[in-house]
Amino acid sequence: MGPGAAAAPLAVALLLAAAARPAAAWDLWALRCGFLADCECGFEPDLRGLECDLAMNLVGQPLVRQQVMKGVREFLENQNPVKPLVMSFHGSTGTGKTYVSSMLVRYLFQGGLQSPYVHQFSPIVHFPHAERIEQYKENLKRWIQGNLTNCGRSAFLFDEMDKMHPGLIDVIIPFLGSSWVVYGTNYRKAIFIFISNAGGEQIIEMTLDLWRARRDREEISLQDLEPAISKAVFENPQSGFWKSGIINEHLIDFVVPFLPLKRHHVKQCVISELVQQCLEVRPDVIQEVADSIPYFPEEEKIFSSTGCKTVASRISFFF
Amino acid sequence: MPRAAALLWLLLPGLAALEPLSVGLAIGVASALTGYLSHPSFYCSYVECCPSAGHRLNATALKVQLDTKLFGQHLAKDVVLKAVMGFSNNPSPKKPLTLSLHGWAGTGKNFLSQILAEHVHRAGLRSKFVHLFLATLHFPHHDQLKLYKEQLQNWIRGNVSACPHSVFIFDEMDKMHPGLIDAIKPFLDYYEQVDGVSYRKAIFIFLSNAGGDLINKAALDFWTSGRHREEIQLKDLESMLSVGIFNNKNSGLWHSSLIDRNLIDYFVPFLPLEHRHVKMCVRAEMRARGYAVDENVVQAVADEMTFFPKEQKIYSDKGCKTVQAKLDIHEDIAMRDTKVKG
Repeated sequence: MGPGAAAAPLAVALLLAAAARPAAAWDLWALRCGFLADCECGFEPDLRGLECDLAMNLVGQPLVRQQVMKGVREFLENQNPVKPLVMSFHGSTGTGKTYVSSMLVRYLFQGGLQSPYVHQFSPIVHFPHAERIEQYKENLKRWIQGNLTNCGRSAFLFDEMDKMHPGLIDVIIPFLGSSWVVYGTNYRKAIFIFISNAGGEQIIEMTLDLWRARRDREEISLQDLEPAISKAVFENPQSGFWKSGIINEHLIDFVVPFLPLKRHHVKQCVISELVQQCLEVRPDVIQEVADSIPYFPEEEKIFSSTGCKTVASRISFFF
Repeated sequence: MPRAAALLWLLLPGLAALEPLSVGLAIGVASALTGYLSHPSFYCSYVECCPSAGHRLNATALKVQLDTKLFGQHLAKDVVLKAVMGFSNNPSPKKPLTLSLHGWAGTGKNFLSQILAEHVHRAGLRSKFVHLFLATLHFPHHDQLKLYKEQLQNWIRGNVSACPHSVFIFDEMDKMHPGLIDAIKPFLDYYEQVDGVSYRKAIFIFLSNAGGDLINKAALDFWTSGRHREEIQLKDLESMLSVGIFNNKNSGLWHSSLIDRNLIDYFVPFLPLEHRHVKMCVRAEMRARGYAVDENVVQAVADEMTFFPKEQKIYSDKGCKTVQAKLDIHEDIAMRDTKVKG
């Protein structure tokens, strides 16, 4: 009973100490973020890795690579940015908008989309009912304000902007500009990304005209595309940006257009999917998958209607 | 309180027997036993567990089941086998498997979805990870659409967080209010996760009669041009089917963003059944009931079914439905005949 009696309080003390240590450490770590102004909260940018990944895996989008790298590089080089980075991805379905946004987040934040400082909003899940729009506005504003106060380097992704109720997104206008002041943190280091299908038809039209004039895809001019996209998005009553102040006040820094994909881009998608699934890269499979996808327009049949979306599931059918 | 104090006072002499060695041994044995009993490999043989991440479906077993039980659907068997095996063998699928089964009544859509469910979860439709939604039962009132959308989202979210390999079957899609199914669009998309839950390993199956007329027409065209039924390929039917469903107000997928955004992996067409397929159904039913297969009875039951079109009478109106009831009548007659004779 002697050694046992002495051992009991010692064991209890050790147990308590062991439990307290991680708790204390977590508390101090969290406090550090409150005191230091340049706390990065899991922000580990890897620009070279991002550039490499975009070059290898993103097919057929020269403008995207150029715009995204330029935008991110300029934003990160500046220690005290004037306003948060606001990018808007436009394009038809299957061209890679969600893919690029998740890639971007993966190379900027530790943990990618699972990082607690990356917030993704989808109107169908988060803002489904049209009559509760005032409540959604209030909630959205408080959520963004709270998270920006917690960590200045947060990223906010707004998907399916064309399904969002017009007027809802205007509540975050103050956070996108250079004039709002949030006490205690530099909110201007945040990143906002809007993804939508709006403007897709304009992009398709321009790419088609370019193809008909026998010019290269790389020659597409951003100066022509950007006003056309902004106009289409602003005037479409179904779009989330309808008559929005975001477009009016030119708060979007970079409009990133996603061009429709041609047959050889689809083949590249098939190859990279086969490699990723560790399957044998057979030319007959590539040909059959590329042939099974519908193409438009009716006569020329050059662009894939589904982009690269159904490629992964088709592979299992033809393999 | 006084009772507890009295009990403690009674136990006090016994405390002298408690010494560290035996107590330590007892605690050690108890924890080892608890650890063993709570390990999945032990209790999963008694209670149903969610399949682990490395679980793969058995291709040969599935093929055998489809070949022996599903009659006359060479396209559906082919597509479903390849799609499901491809999905199962893929270590990291980019999106949940979404199949849309279309065809006339009685061609085997529910039957095929049952076979599939049994191969993913052993208890099949009775498994707690397989969820069947009937539009007329679960979503009857069109004015409560918003409530149904919210409930559906919550149900799917909750069940996929509990088991990523969940199977969701939506029956009677043609009776579903168009727009309801759009509520689950984000779950079917190419997202890594939605609100922290990954839907990439789930399976969604939509069953509907919509598009059946288009399929029947295509099958009839093949027959009248003298070609074999087995020559019908998926590419002959698929694009026509998806466009037809998209534009059909009564298909549940009318102008749906699921088709728009190409979230449906495969449109699986079920061809109408011919006379010989109905006979196969009757034979299978007789074998399942344990009777000897009597060709006269098979012929009689098959002849009683109604066929379309009116002149050629090639395809059964109801597929293999009502075969069991007709078989009951014929068995009854046969038994009465033997009683009279014997």
